[in-house]
Amino acid sequence: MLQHLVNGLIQGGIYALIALGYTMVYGILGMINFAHGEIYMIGAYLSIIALAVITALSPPLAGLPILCLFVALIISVLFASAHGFTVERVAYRRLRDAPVLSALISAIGMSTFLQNYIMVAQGKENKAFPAYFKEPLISHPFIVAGARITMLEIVIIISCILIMLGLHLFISRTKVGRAMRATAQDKKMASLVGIDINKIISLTFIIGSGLAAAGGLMVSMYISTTRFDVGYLAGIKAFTAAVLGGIGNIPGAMLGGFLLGIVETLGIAYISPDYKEVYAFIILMIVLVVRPTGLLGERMAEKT
Amino acid sequence: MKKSICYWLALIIGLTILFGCDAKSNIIKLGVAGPLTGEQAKMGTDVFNGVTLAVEEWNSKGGVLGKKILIVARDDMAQEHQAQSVAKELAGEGVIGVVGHFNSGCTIPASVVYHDSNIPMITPSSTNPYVTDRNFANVFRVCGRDDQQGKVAAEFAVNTLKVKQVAILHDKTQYGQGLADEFKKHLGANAEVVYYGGFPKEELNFKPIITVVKEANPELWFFGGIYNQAGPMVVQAHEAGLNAVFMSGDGVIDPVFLKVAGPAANGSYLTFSRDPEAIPSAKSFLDKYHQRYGLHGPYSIYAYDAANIILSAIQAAGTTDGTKVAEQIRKTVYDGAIGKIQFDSKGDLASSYYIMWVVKDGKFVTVESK
Amino acid sequence: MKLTFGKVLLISLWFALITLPIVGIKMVDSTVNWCFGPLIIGGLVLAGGLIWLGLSRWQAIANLAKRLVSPLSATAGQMVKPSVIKWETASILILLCIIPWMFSAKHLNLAIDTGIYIILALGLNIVVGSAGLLVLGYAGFWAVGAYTFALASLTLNCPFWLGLVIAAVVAGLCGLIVGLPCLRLRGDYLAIVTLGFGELVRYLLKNLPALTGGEKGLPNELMSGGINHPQILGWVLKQPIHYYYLTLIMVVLTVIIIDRLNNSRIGRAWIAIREDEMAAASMGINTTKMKILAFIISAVWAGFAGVLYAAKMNYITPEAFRFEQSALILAMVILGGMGNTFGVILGAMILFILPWFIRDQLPAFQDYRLLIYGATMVLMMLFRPQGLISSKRRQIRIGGVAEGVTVPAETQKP
Repeated sequence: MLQHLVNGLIQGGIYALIALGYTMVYGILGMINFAHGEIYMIGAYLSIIALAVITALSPPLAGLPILCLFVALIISVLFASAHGFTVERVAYRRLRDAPVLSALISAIGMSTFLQNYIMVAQGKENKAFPAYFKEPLISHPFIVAGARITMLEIVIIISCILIMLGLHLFISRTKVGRAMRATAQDKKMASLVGIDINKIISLTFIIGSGLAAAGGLMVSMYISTTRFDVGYLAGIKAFTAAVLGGIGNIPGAMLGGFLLGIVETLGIAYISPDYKEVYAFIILMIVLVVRPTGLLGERMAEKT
Repeated sequence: MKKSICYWLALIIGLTILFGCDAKSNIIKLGVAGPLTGEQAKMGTDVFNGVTLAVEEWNSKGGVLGKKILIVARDDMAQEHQAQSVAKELAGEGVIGVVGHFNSGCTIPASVVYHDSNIPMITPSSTNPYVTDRNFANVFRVCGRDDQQGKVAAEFAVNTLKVKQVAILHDKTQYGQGLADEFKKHLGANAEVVYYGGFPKEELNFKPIITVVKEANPELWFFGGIYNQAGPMVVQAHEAGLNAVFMSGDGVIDPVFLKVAGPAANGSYLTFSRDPEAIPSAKSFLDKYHQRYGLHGPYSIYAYDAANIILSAIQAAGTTDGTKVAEQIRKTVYDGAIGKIQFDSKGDLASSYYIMWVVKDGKFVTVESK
Repeated sequence: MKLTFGKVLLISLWFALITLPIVGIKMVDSTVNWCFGPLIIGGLVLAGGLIWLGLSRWQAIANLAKRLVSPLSATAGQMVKPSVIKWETASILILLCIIPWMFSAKHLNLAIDTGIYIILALGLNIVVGSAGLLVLGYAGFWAVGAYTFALASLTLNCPFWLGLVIAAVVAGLCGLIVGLPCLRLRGDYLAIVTLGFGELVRYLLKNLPALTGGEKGLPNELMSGGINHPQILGWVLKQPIHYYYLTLIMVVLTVIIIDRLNNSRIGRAWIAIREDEMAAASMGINTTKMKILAFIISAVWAGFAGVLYAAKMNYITPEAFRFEQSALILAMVILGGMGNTFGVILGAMILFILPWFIRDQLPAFQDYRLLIYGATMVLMMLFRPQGLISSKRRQIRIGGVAEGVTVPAETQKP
């Protein structure tokens, strides 16, 4: 049971990290950024590439695996954020005043483009996460109540929670965070009070992409591999999670992500693995019919 | 108004001319179909490369029946409905034979189309029994069958490894589930199946299901599926502390499995046919392949032989008529890179056998040679 | 933002930089190879930027493009009119009837598939283009139609024409069930619920092997035989050419019905709802009823397309109805021009034929097929967000020009 819960928390934490990107962009631009799942995949690739480069270029640094992971995380977050920023500048900015559907199609096109860009550049087969770097994190598992929990699992869960807390504080306490909330509520009014809308939107994409890249690194480390098409399904799931929690609502995305991950994992364990995808969508449908704004979605209802 | 009509007429006629005219009579077309994009893209590319080498050899010798051979490659994305559309397209292209498809699930619907259009097809890799059990005159395969494969695996598990409790997983495809079911059937009463379940073929996070398998406490776990899932699955099982023996089928024999699984792959048992590296006649093909594309995939050599069989049958029959070529294929004993190839009345290999392979020090080795 | 040489240079450097790890590094086992990919990309962007710079100073090209597009808009303007079939439309139809005899088999097959997608896109256009409701799981309704007919045909030997009716009813009912709760929600939620519906249908089809054959699809070993082909007085239509004409007839019927519908009270009510729901309600339109009606009609059309698809393919699997398909159909509607029948047809043709064309005529680009496809979608939206042929009513609203006068779309400011 405990093991299932840990599995669920990890899966949920990753969904939540990606869902945050969806929900932030939706909150501000009112569009579904379909390319977000691909940014997560790019993050996973970047971390593997970074580790390969570290191994090849700097053997002494490679002697400190944990430090290398940090470096890889930074590189991956930086470049993924750059990708997110570029995607917004290229594919969405010009369409901000066009019908929402045009931006949606642009996003779908971007998603196809990014996925195939990775496929062409990095090949079609699975990429392995170098086992050496995560060895210290998994070599001494804790045995708790029959469950076998590795340091890696604890690290992933804790960093997911820390990242989300940090984001929450950033949005609710800082000046920039306040500007972001203001933009989400009313772009025109926000610009009237001196907020640079373009900068805020770029920042949203940068933060969202960074979170997704962190998720990508953690997942590829956790499941030891990644492939160019993992972004699609992860994106759909994370989007479901964002809607579950109330789209546009940041704590909601976190809640939705964790809930989805746990339900899926427990469903696999206690009902049947065959219906893994069905659980997510059944929950989504029920929540939307019973509570249309999502679990924590009051804010959206006011916005109409 | 007149301008716009002219515009439309020009557009439509232009498109028709653009698409409609590609009649080149001095070439013959050989179809290749498999997943060239998507999660199994590598396997399709292996097959395509194998066929390319075969066709280049023929073309450098002057082609077949005095005509150059053109490869028409079509991507079925490992999706069944795509396979069927692709088959219709290939039939529409007027190919004289098809090497493919890769996945059993794709070969089965596609072969119906080739049967209707009377095009001989040889699949290098689809092992599901149903592929040839329909007795289509034009359908052949140069690999074995899952019922043979499942039997070898089950007998090995029961007789050699002497396991009593087995967990079975599959990827819910025709191939994966078919193989898992054959394995289960041949286990019979000799071992207890403590867990049986499937998951989508896109899945990469197996921790939840491995936890369940671990709780069932099997001595051996069998996976019916493809290498791109087996790799991460084996590593994750290793991390989760699942100590049972891993066993799988021919879909897992691929260098990428070893690369992803790393040391966790050691001790995995897999069923596959002969080792091409150990066959003298395969050497020239393998050398050429390695020089051009790098490491050969498990099915590259089968694709190479399949293309050669079709082309030499056309040469021998002196025609590209589907029925005659299929008859010719059925009655010749072909001396291929993989060894002697002869088909039985169903289109299966007359003598095929599966042997057990094991991963040892990061390499696939046959169990005999241990 | 004015583009200068310095900016172009900076942008190309930026692209070279961000593609550095992904394009510039090839991992081979444990070694790392560097390559010049990012420089090539930077160079391409630079060249593109310079061409753009040159073009922006040379208006002639832009004018030429305008002249090329304007006849499209002009015909589209006439097609929207509720008029009897004009001789020019008739000439196109006659041409479409003759054309298959010039086609080879593969093109015929492509034409039929394109026709099915046109029907789907037109069906989706009712709910997205006319009523302005976003549906992201349209393939779900398509799947319902296809499976209903396939199952009825395989188990009860149901003929094609009856199947058409049954599938339409079942798909319509699904539309009603999904639509009822959603339509009390805001527009976005309909999108999300339909997305969920589409995926749910696919996973259910996949996971109920006893009923639907699961991943094996229909027909399979257990439910063997073929899906019934349409019959007319005992004459079985099973050749591709028969399906071509059947599809053509269905497309033409769809166009006529939708044209009639758009110009009826109902169609005008939909457009009123699309433009301003509150105003529409205050004009006495029962908005909920109208929205549900649009949704159901749209679902029914997906059902028709599903039956045609199942009969033509003679084999269906759940994987044929993935989310990508929903997205593709939606892209056809939006690319072509929302709400405009002619535009949607053009959009469907382009989006269906383009990937096929790349694969067929440019085999060297096989791997780049979807890359080009995605880039085209983005570029298309960037430079023509209103679609190839924008809806005439919309033009009047924006441009403030009297009815009957079509304005080349470039002259408006978005």
